[in-house]
Amino acid sequence: MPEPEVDTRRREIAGVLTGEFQSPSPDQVLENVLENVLLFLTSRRDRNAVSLVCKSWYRAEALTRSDLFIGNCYAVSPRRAIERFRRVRSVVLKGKPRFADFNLMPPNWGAYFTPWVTAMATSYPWLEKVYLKRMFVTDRDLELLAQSFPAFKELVLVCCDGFGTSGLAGIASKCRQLRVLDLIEDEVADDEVDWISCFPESGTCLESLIFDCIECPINFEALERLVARSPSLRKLRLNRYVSIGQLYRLMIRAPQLTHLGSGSFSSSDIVAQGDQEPDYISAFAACRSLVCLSGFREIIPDYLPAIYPVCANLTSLNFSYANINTEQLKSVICHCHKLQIFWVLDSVCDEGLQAVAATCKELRELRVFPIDAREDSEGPVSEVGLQAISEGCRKLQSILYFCQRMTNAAVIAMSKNCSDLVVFRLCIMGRHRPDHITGEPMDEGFGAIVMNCKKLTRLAISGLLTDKAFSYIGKYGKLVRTLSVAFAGDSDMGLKYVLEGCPKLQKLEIRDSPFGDAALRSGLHHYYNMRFLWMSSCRLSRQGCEEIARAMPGLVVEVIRNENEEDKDGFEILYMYRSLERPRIDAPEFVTIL
Amino acid sequence: MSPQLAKPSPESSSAGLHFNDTELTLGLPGATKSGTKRGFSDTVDLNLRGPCNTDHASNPSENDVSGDSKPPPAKTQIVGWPPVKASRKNVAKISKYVKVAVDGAPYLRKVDLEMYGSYQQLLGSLEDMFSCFPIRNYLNERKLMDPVKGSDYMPTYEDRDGDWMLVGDVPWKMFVESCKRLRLMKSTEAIGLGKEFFFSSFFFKFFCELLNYILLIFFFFFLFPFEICGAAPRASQKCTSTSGSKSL
Repeated sequence: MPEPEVDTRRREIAGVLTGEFQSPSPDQVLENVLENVLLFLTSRRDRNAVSLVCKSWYRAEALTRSDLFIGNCYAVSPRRAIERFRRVRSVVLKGKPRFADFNLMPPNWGAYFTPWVTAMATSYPWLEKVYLKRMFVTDRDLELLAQSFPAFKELVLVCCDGFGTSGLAGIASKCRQLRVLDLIEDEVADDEVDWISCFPESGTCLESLIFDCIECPINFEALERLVARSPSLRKLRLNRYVSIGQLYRLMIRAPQLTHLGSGSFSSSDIVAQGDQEPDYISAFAACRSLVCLSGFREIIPDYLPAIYPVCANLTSLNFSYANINTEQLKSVICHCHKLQIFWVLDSVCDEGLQAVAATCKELRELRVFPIDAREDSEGPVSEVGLQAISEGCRKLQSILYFCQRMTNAAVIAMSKNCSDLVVFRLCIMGRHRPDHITGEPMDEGFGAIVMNCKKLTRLAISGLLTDKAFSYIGKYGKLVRTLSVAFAGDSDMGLKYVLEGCPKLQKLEIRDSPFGDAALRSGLHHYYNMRFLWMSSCRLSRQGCEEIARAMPGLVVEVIRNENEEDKDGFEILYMYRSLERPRIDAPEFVTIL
Repeated sequence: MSPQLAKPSPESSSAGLHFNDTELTLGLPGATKSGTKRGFSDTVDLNLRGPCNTDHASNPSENDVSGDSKPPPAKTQIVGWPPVKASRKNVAKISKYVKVAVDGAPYLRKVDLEMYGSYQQLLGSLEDMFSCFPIRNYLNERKLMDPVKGSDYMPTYEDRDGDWMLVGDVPWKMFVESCKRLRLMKSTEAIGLGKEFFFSSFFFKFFCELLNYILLIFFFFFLFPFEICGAAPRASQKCTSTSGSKSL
């Protein structure tokens, strides 16, 4: 498809050569200038502002936008998006809401990639990048993608499902310009296809290959050959079917790696007494550019010392699948002075977190996951660890912390010590648990967070919480965009405080909280500014939801039943979102759109 | 809206435990499977409205104050809570030790279910462990009789719901997920659990005994007199006729 831009220039040049050059009209000049300037504008928020100035600016912006971001795939139809933006090189599409990750959404709800890829196949022939999050992607979709875009370079799938190794084989074999194939936390079906062997034999331009989520074996010899013929490879994340011995063989072929996912980090067979184990330490030492380390899916801690040589350069370390104890963590973390991102399991205990606080002064992001994710599990980390982190890691911007016991004092301390916090997500796993020392609700702790952390945009709350906590959020959380609520609040007032008080609120997900129809009504002024609202197991009635649907025609109000539910009027989940289109037609039987 | 009320406010929790809010949705007690899609119904969804969790340890008396209410049930997992993705949940699950009790044995044992790949392996291992108690294996229809004790044992297990089930009905992985403890039950006690229910049951044995006695009485009262009264036929006829006329 010839691009109009090129045509105009050709005409101009032709005009100059033949002496028939006609000076363009002022409007045209302005538009040309604008287009050239707008080519440099990448932020989509700025672009949205530009497009609102006037019709001519709207047109210019539409022609120059190359990165299309669609936060909710049902907010706009493929046809409408393609008609407005004609020269897109990169597409980001997000589907299901986040609570779908935790089995709260019935399967086959929607978020199909098929209509998008079908529409783009004919309209965006120069498409280079596709990023999908929580979408349902089939093998056929991947086939179509591989066939339709000759310049295709990057495919990133996050938390997606619906496809298998046969779809990957199609991508690997047909996308000759492929630089990035990142599969992150997807569910990939095992079609028993050797997709690794499908990459072109004559060398690839692969820069990033991430497949640590794939739960089936891969052809290792083929992978070794692939790594050998991919000189640009910088990021490689292996799945747990790659043993440490195999990892060694890959590392010596690719010492230029910057990001490494180490696979199982254990030996596949029991190594006999006399056998010589490869020199893992020197293999790691040879990777001088390594800054990001992850994997350790089935770690044998004896092998941990192998990573010591790279610790001093690491900016990101992911131990969230590594079952290691305090001492084992200490032996590693004491070298990691530059660490900015750290994910770990709570098996390292409070003492392990104290060690992190003592060394990692540059830490920006911390995630502590539970090794035993049940309400009544032991809980090896507590307010002690959180307090230590707050005192040691003053530059902290993002924290996700799972625990069984917490105090308001520790949360308040964090709010004061880490004033740069942008993301604060605390999950006290036992429902309705108060401060375990004072017995009070956790209201003051979360209140302090919204009060003192002036840059906070994302908040997840837990523990015993009254409406007071919500009043704090409504009063001080002026920049909050994402809020997650579970088993919290006393009455409708809680939700009212938030809906009336938080002007930037875009994503609100609530479960098992006593908010009813009156609370829902209090947000009518704001719902068009939000990406979505999720409420499950609250005190809503069908009439209440119908009222909202009637009052706001631009909103799609879905009520989702539990599949086993026989009462056709009852529902579990309210999921509503703004949309430019009529309600979707691909909804399954248990979804009713009001 | 289905009657799913949120937890009552703390003040009212000690006033009474209302179990009419309990809602049970049964699904398969199966685990997440690799490479296949997650199932919304693949989990047990038990929404209990009980008292505050932390009150258990510190104020057990408060819970008992509320008259006829039962003690709080064991904590069962709620769907999607805590909010951890399925792929992260199996990090530490490399062993699953369950107690094994055998009727008549002085002490219990423990086995790691993750060490076995099938029922055969588990039962074989149990047989080794309790070599003096032969175990009935329904999968193979093998039946070993203990010559000394004269009885054999049936493998049963307690599942997540607290019910006692016969080992072998569900797929192995599902069994490992849902099994909380094992019990080798004496066959005589294992009423209603197996195919040979009738033949091994107490009732059948009672019935046989009863039949025995009936036959004994029959022979003693009806056939034995004929042999005592020497001139059997005529004497018996006279006896029967007189008794017959008298009755008329």
